[in-house]
Amino acid sequence: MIEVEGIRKSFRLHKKAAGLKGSFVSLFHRKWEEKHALKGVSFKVSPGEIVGLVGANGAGKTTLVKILAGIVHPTEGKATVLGHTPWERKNAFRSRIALIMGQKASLWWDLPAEDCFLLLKEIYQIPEERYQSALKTLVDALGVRGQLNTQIRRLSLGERMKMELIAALLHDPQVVFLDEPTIGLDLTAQRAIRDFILRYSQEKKPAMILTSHYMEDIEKLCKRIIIIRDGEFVYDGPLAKITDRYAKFKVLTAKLDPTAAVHAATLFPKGLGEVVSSEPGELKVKVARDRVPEAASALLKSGGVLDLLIEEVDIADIIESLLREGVREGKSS
Amino acid sequence: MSGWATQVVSFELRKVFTYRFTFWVKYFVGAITELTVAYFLWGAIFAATAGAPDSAPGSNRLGGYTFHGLLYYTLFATLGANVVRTLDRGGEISGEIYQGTLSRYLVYPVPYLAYRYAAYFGLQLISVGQLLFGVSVALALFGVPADLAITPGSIALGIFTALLSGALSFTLTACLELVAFWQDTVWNLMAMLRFIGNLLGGLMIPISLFPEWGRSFVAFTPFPYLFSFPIRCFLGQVGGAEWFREASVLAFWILATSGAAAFIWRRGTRVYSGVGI
Repeated sequence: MIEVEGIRKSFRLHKKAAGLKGSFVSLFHRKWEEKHALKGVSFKVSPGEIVGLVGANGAGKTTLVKILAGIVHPTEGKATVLGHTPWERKNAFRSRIALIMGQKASLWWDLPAEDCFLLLKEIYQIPEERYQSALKTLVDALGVRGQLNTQIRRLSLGERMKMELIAALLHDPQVVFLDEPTIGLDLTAQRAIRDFILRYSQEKKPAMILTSHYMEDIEKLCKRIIIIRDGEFVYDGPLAKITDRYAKFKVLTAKLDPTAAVHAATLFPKGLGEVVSSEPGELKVKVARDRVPEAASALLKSGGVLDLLIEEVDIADIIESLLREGVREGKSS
Repeated sequence: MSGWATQVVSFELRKVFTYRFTFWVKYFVGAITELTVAYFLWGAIFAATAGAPDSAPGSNRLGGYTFHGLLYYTLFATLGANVVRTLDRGGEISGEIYQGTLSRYLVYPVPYLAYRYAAYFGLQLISVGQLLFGVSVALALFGVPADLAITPGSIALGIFTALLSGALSFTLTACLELVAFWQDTVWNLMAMLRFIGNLLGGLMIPISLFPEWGRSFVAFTPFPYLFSFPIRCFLGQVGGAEWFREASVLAFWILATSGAAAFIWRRGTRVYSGVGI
């Protein structure tokens, strides 16, 4: 459904020295710098799949989404979405995709959402019956019936985002690009949008690419993630496997007998791992994965341990470390 | 007109009607203001030039126009220009390129420039209403001047011509606005076009008042077809065969500038990066 091969994108940026002198000099001579937003990325997305695109600001996520939505031409490489080259912008392609950008409004602020939807109905040539049915389903699912006739600019951010989702999905797209759909929303609105996207994906099975800085979005919605760093993929694979592959440690939390006279930290033999926190009644240690049985056994044998919990390191921490340091042992496929 | 284009026209009208205070002030108080200004301006000019060599002493004429004739010329020039150019518009295309909001239109399965023209046409229709209101007030106050052949037919022809001239104004402006793909701000180009269009298009003063060499020069530019042509239609100065001849030249300019805009659009979208606020 989406096939990308060796996509590169470079931008030419004007660099101006600070201050009035820099501005004056730039009238006569400009210094340009080439920025490589994407450095030859390749991947495929199948129908029904939600792929999470994770990366720091400026990593190239939005550029990739814009290329696949046909907004931006790549410098080099090939891509097909639904059998079309996106940047040729054929109507047969554009009428089957949707793009939702959390940071940019696509609806017209001066009019109520229902007026905007009527315009989109004509733009996408949606038959009346199908339009009414899709509108009812989406409005009910997102619980915004009461706001349909309110001017867009007077809606809350959460309500506006829900209207953006309806506008993008009215024509039943087969490929959906979601660029930070929950950005700036409160926790309740984030959860509502997330739940809706999950239900929609299960029901309609479009191919989806989601970018988000919120790990909860990624964890709840995506089985597969692509981690992008400085325009290159550092991981492309199942979310579940990222822990097995890149988490070097596990966290052991021991619940201690608070009446025991012995100090918590002394229960844990030095050299087996690193004490993360030590409080009365609880000891938390980080242990190399291959030494977990040994560490657990040592803790249990020490007496004073009422309960022991063994957990994976938080997935967000692993991704953050991948984004910061890259992958030392080579890229994943 | 296709379904989506009709909906865009209607959509633009709905957007204007949303702000009712602005609507009444801009379109109706504006028309009365234009009429009042024209009345006092030409009244003062006629009083000051009475007896001057070029004002045909004793006949109360200036450049071939009576006081009421020039009053109507100014009225049709200002309100007709609103039909051609629409009120307070311009800069949408370049603004959308600059701010990156063009991205949302690029994913819709409709041609962007056609979408923008449909929105422009919607605004032209409101200006037609404003013009009809202003002319009705003027006719009620001053009647039809003796030196002009203003009839319902000439007004209808004028409106139709002004709508066509609007297409030229749109494509001409679009050519400059699309330069925003390469240069972030193009308002200076737009301001230059506006000034040159006003001057050479006969909006400031009738082209008939230009010297002979000036009239010959502007005939080779698209500008007389922006304003002077529709104004002369309103005033009943353009007949059947002459109208078809001039309308053919107007159509040529519309096609030429549309082709240029389409070419610039194709080149520009290749370098568009979608960055912005």
